[in-house]
Amino acid sequence: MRDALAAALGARATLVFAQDARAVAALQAAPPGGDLVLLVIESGVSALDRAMLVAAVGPLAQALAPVTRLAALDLADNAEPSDVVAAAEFLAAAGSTTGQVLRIVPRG
Amino acid sequence: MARANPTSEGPALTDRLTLNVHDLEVMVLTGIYSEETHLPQPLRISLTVDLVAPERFDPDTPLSESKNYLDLKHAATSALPVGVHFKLVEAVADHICETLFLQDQRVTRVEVSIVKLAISEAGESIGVTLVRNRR
Repeated sequence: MRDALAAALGARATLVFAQDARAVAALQAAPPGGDLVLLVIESGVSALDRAMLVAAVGPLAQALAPVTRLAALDLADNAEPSDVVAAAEFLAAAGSTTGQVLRIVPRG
Repeated sequence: MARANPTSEGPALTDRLTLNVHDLEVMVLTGIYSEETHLPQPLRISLTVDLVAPERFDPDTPLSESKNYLDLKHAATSALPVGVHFKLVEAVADHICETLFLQDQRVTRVEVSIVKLAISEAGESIGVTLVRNRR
């Protein structure tokens, strides 16, 4: 799924795959440039870290604005990879959108 | 407003901005009651958060120079993960502190007071206050 996201987005976004809440600290320490930073909160992240990551998206987006947008995909177990890619492409194209978190759950 | 004067003798005075969000009532899975019943119990949560203060606030100072109070409210409500049981309310307080430190580097100190409403019999406030400073 990581490869599919990278292939779909190319240079349109910087992908950050968050294993835990420290991913935010890394973003703050070395904010990437470019139009969009897409934080991908994978399904294996603990509930506590997930909650902190989601809570950080809004304030961090404000800190990075207006030069860089920040958005996040919050992935549930067994989320369909094509749905994840579609959501990522939407966020990459939505040039006025920042600070948003899209929760991707399994179909059905 | 008093400002630090680097040329004067004596300890430096550090300006700060304090944001307050008090008396949030939040249902949280915590303590023995929740462990046994799997039901959340009501907590009254108050936050006092210190930030690094900008040099000056002018009439046209942008919003970005302060912090959205809703970030504090969210840290004590929606940022508490659903379904996670916190054995101690101290852990609830620490999660709130960590959430605020993580999301905004301007936050220097977080004070969280939690009152356990369910154990009050005559309106008394019983709970804890946790203070964490950024290290």
